[in-house]
Amino acid sequence: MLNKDNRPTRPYLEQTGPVEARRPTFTGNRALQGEEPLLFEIGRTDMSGVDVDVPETSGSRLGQHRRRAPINLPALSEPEAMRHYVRLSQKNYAIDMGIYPLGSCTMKHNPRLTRRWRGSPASPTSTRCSRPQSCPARWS
Amino acid sequence: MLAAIGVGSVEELFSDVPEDKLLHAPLDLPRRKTELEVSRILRGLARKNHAAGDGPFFLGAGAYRHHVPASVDHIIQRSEFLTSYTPYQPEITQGTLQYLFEFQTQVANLTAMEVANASMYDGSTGTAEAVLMAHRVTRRRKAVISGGLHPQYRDVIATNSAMAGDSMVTLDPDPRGTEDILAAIDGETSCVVVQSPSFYGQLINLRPIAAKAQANGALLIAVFTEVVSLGLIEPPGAQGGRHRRRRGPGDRQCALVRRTLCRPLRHQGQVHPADARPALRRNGRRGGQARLCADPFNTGAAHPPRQGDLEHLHQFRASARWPSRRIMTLLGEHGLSRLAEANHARACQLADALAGVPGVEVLNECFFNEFTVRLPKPAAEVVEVLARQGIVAGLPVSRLEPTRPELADLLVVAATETATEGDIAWFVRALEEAL
Repeated sequence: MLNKDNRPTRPYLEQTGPVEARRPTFTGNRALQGEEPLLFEIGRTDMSGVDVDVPETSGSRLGQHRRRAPINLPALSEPEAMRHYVRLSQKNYAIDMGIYPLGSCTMKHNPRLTRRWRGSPASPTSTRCSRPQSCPARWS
Repeated sequence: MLAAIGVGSVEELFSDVPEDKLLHAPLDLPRRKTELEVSRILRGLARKNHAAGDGPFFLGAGAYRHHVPASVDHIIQRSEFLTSYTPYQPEITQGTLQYLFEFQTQVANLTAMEVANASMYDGSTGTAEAVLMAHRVTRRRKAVISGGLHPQYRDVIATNSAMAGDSMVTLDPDPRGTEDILAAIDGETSCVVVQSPSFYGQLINLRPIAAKAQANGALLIAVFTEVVSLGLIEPPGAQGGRHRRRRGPGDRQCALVRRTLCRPLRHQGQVHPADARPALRRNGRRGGQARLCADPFNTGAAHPPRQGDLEHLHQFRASARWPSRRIMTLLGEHGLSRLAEANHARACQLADALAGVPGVEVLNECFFNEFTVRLPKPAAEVVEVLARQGIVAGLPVSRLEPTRPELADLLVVAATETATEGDIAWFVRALEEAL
């Protein structure tokens, strides 16, 4: 828990039972309701939203450096994570909703093409300044 | 205004810019092009590039190739999160403020530190900022720099120190982690900067360094460039934890997490203030915490943040786009531990395979997903030979330490979960031929 006194930061979390049931609606769906619990109130540390295969190996090279204490890093499944962040996003005002005339940082429209190309695997930013010189990254 | 600042002309104001770098005529930009034309041009240019996924890839040295779940791209492209600016107006950025709060808590838990910042420019400048902070906190001006620190991080600290007139004791490059850094710490030392896993991949025991630093009233600055390692190795906050109850500047430590938790390689090089994440361990005094937070991450706020005050988190805010933050949420403790295991397993496989190549010596006994090998010939030549076969073999140390011929045959190699057994076999076969 975030609170050192172990006090839940949402009143309904004081009730017992599964998290979904503790939410104030029957289905757990909160539609456009603005409240979104903290990740640490809804996530679990015993599951993961990403499948990872661990290859077989003989032995470890960690020496005495292996972690002993738990991390306390909760996870959400993929749909849970999507809903969490989409709900959070809906609490933000954004340039695509209207003008964002914020002082020195007034936002401009970025053509969506730049997004597509900046994310391309072969775009220069996907390569490394320390790559071999025979593997060029050109932008001109 | 020119007169007020004591210069005669605009040209004089910019006299630091070399003459041949100045623009003397308008930019020669081509005429406006349609989206289709631009797209066609960019596709042609992109074909010239060799991307990380185009073949076996063993380059790390500060930025590591990891698989990024598709949902992460989906989330970070939401325009409500695309804003890269400081959320100065809390009432219209509550979503950002909440995820920042969650992110800082994740980082604090991961590093076993008590306070985590939300954004610095990058790992190297963040490290240099931590050194400046240590100077302010200890009122001393001498930094001790481990030979295992990333050379570019070291260089950024050196730039700052030279400008500020601070002193800096830099130990020689230390591939095997055998340097005697304890001997360099004395009563004038402000901070000790140690990277673990080191630039060369070696895992470093921070406990004796933390103890010696504390005994001398100095701060330990623990740097790491691969966040995934914390899923498996002991965090820096736990390696000095025995002393946390005592008071005094030595109780405070600072750890720097670089931005590489599954941050897609394609996001590197962007000019957004990125997300190196200093985390702090304080000595239990509330005032101490506020000071530690506010000093290094000065974003122009008029007063230091108060604990638990969500609105004030906006002071720390610079970039809204944190793939790593979403990935931590998807992975969680279970997933991060498994991801770290997978990284370590692949690196062990690679080390065993390379050790079998005649003339190749693995230098590190303890490592996470990266280590250094000594080759029987200059590593830079070998890397170029392999690159022509589509294999990115790693970083020749000479690339970052060109003035040290004794390091010319060292190659830093990394294997993450993205490396396959086929990649390793291909790499080893090509290396045998190249040698």
